[in-house]
Amino acid sequence: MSAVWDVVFLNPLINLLIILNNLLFSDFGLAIIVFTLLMRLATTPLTLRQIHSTRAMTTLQPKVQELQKKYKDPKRRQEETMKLYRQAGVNPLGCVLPMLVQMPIWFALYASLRATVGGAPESVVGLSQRLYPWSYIESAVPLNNHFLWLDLGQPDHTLILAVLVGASMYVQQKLTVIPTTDPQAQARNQMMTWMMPLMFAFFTQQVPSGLAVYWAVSNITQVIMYYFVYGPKNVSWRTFFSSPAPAPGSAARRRDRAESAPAEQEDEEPAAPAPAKTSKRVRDGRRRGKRKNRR
Amino acid sequence: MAATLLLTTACVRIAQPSGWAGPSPADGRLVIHSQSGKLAAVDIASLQVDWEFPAGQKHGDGTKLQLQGIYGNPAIVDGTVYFGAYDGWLYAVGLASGQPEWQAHLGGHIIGGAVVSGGLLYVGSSDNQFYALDPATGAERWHFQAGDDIWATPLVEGGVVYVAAMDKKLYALDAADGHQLWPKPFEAGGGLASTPVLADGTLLVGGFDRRLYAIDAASGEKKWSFKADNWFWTRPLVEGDTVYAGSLDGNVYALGLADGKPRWPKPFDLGAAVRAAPVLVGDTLVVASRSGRVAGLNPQNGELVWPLPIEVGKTLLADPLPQGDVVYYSAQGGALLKVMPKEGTFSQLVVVKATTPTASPTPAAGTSTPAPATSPTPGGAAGPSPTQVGTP
Repeated sequence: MSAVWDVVFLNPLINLLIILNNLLFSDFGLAIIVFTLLMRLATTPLTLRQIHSTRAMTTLQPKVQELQKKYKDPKRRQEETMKLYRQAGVNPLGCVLPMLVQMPIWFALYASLRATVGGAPESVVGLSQRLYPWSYIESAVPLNNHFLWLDLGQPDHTLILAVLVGASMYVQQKLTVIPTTDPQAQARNQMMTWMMPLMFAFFTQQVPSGLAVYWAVSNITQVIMYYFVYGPKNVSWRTFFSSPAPAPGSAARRRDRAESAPAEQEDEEPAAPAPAKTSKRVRDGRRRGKRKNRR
Repeated sequence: MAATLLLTTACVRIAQPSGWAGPSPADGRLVIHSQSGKLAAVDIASLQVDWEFPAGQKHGDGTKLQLQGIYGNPAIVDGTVYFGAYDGWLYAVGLASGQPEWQAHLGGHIIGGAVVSGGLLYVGSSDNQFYALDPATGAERWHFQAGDDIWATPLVEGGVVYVAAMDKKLYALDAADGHQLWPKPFEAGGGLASTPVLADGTLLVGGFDRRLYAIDAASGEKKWSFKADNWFWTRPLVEGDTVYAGSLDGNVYALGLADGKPRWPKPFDLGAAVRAAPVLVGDTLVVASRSGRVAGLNPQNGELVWPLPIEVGKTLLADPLPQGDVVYYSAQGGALLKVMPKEGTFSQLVVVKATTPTASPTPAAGTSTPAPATSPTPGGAAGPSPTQVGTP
């Protein structure tokens, strides 16, 4: 299994990385940046599908919760839920499958950086077992580990990269967090929004800076992708300095709960736009829910 | 899920330099790269550590000495141990005391070993420079600039220094002043990281282009080359008219010194990369692979003379030290192993740290700060700056 992984995923990526290094004036830092961008580009369709599917699923959550309350029989509930998904044109596996498909790619990408970025002689011995027997590739060893102020094989102790990784991850988390009505999930989201950037900023001080460059570029690329997919309406400075916004429906629900008898059902509305087909159906559902509440 | 993925990848440890300096003999001691990543002098009889370096010393700017790994075998001359470390410093340490005599910062990681010959100390660095220093003070005498890192230990023979560099070139320099002796350096197809060996006027050096080269030492012209399935990074061994060399393809080859033709019916396959140099003990050629497999071979035909290769369970990359009828190996991580070629057995030596270290962290008297010498070679005087070692 390990050999298959090496031959199919890891070794091709390592050799591609070194070819990029040669094409980019033997600048390994540039090679890491372009390599990360290329991999992001290659997985863009999957990433977009995943984002769209996740949002569509979130949008349908109020109706799913309605069904859960309405049907006590698990089998019937399952059938009705699947029917709802079918009607909405949503594949429940749409969120998970693209991520599963991408996982080996990102693991291999990370492993390829691990194999090349160290620069220590032990790493070079390991690298010798992975390079294709082409003089164009082999002549690149040892790789030039100097990029800007960084020794890519050593941690960056200037804090610049740590701040860059932490900030870019914070922005990315802020943009991609999915609004939820569940207070626990809200608290979890809020914690993750702070914890992850802090943790990665800390990791940046421990690992070779070449990896931190990859993290920073990867985060920034995802932020840019998000911006172009969802437009400036969803990306404002206020987004970055407020706590993760709960779904708008949740505020209404809380008011309803305070003003009236216990709510008959969960009501939830996503903040971000969903794909056209799904959002129409969900809007219909919301109207029905509100009518019900009024009654 | 994404967070888990990120955290998993972030927590995966990146291999850090640890060093692969082999053991060096000195007055009933072995100077080794210890398990704590330091240089240690171990009494061969008692296996007790006499001293370790560094022992809390600091650089002039107050930062603690951290060698980060020692790759080249130390040179031990006139009671002083000279070695370069991955931290970019070249150290001179008293053999008896373990106290630093001087240290000089070169411009890059030091991976090759240091050599003392003819009153000069020679060492290459990853700053593309090759240095000749005064062994008493660390002051620079001359330096030579290559086109890329210098990872190989130099060879000094007959007033000539042979320097293999990662710019794919092998240089022959005048040991006294560093000027080039060949009309042009020998050029290979890949980086040269292995220590050259001279035998009968022929230089042997392995390259990252998968070739072992035989070069005329007088002219720098190629005599022959032999191609393996992976790089040559071992120091070849010449015995009589045969060259023995291991390759990172996992094979050990025996080639004719005159023509480079294989001498064995087939190379001996150790199954994993071979970086440690082969050594001959009696009639047994002892070879070792990175995976920790050690084999005793008949040097005539490459057949295994032991019933089976032995598995030491450690990563072996350092050049071994043959001493009498045993061979010492320093494993990655610092374990010291003793292989008995006659029996085809090995034992791991348990090195004992002295409860009261003989070495005190106080610098020895007379460790002055000598002024760097003016470089007589073109390229300016920018060189190592010897400094006094501070107390913790």
